[in-house]
Amino acid sequence: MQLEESFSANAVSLQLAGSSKDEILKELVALLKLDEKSDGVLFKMLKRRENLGSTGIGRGIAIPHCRSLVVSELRVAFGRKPEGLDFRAIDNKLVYNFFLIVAPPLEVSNQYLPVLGKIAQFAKEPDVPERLVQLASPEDFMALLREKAL
Amino acid sequence: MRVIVVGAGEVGYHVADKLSTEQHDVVVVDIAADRLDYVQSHLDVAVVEGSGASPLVLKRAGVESAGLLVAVTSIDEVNLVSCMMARGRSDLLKVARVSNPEFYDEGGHLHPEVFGVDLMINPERELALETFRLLQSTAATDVADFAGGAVQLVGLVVTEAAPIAGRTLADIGREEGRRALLTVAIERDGKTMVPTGATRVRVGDHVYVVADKDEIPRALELCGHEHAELKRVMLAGGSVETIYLARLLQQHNVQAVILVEDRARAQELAEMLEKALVLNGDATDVELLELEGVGGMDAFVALTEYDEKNILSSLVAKHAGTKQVITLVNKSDYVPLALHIGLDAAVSPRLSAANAILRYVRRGSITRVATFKDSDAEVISVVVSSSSPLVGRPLAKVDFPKNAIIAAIVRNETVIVPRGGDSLAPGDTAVVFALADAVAKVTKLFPS
Repeated sequence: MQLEESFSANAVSLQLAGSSKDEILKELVALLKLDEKSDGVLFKMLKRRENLGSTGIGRGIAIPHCRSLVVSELRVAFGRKPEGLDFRAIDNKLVYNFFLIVAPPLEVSNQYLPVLGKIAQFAKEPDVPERLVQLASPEDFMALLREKAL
Repeated sequence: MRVIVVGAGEVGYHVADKLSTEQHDVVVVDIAADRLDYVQSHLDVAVVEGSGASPLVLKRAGVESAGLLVAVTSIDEVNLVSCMMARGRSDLLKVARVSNPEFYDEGGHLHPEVFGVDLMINPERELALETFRLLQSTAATDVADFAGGAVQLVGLVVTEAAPIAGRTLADIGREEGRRALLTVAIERDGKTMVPTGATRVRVGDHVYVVADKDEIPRALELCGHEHAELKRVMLAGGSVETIYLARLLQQHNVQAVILVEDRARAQELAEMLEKALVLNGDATDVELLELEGVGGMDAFVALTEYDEKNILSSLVAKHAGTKQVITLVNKSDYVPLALHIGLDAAVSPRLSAANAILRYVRRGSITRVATFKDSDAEVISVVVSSSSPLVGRPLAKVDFPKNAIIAAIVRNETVIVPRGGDSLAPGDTAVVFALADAVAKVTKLFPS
């Protein structure tokens, strides 16, 4: 399965407003459009995961991810914070681009790890950080994924 | 042959142990008197106290009449200088342990020739290669290649699901027909034996099978293991071994997730490795491993610099259901222990290095040798010369040493598992399995 198929334009935000780690995580969770209770559960899980070690993988990119029963299938979202945020990334640089991945604990299709791996690979493409800065619309983001064909 | 081993650490000890039992005249050189005491009380070798980089010390060790110098201290520079001291001697084979990868880079300023080194051995890289071979044949405890990879030796534990459990090797052989695979050894209750047709396989036996590479999946099946394709591997630790292994995985399109506890080191690895996902975190954290989905990985390899962390995180991974778990243990004494507590395979950089050195030293007519980790047995691969007394005679009629067995013959790229009626021809590669007491006798039967 191509990476593009996991995303959809309505779970993409190019203007995250939050100015703290918590606010950004909440905004990302909101992109999945779940109910309020689920949002709270997910936020707590993601925060716990970040406390074990930041998912900021360098080059301005972070991949907050967790497994939870509040989703019944793999869900992903993308958010961009043009001003950047200190996310304790491994390279100590600001993070601008956030990929959220949430999967149920037991998932028949087992897409969680492949998707996580593909996003990591996508993030490591030399031109990707710059291309993400230039995105003008969620559709541009989808087009970039399509172009990379991962 | 006189052999000088510089460095009485684990690599030196292992090499000295193997070569001395093969009747070589071994001298071990080290600056630490207590290490030398230990070596002398355990092995039949001579010792010289002093620096291996000193010409006087090497002279005292008898370098002038030596045929092999193995410099394997933990310090690259000492090993290189040691070989340099003897670089004028073209009849002396010089092996140096060199860990710094810069010495291997093509753009590196120091070339082996400058130091007169015949072989540079990098323990970390040897370990990564060995681990990768293990990953490729899931469920195997040991893997070694022979005859350019056409023949493989695998160590497997017989599970309850194994169709061969409770049956004799003769029975199994009849059913498998002319399949090119042969059980050469069984380790049971801590003892290794060369089985006969009447030997009955039991659940829990550690069997060693020599087979045509294409028959390895069948060998796994017979021992009750599934053959699974390797797609995703989690590595723990930011060691040099991790980098070598991650690169091998990358070359073979296997996805790697790497957990590195130190943030700065995590960043270094992230920059070095193009495809791997490097995450900052402690691999002994049960919650983190679970959140990262360790149970869904095809394999977990613990490669931190601490044995205890490796064993602990491996146990967590195993418990979470990871199919294959490989653990780095620096202390080779821990290797059998790791298997005992349920881990699938243990690797040690020092043993990997020692084995690579032994393979090289015994090349010539003997092409490749694998030394078993936790038993006193070896697999020897030899090119049969016309002067061998075995040539042209049916194997059933040959007086072959006890505790040794010809496991495979490679003739014109075809792998033959020999029966009594088969015979050896000059130019064949014979793969022979032998317990320690039979190694010297076997070597004599294959003169170069």
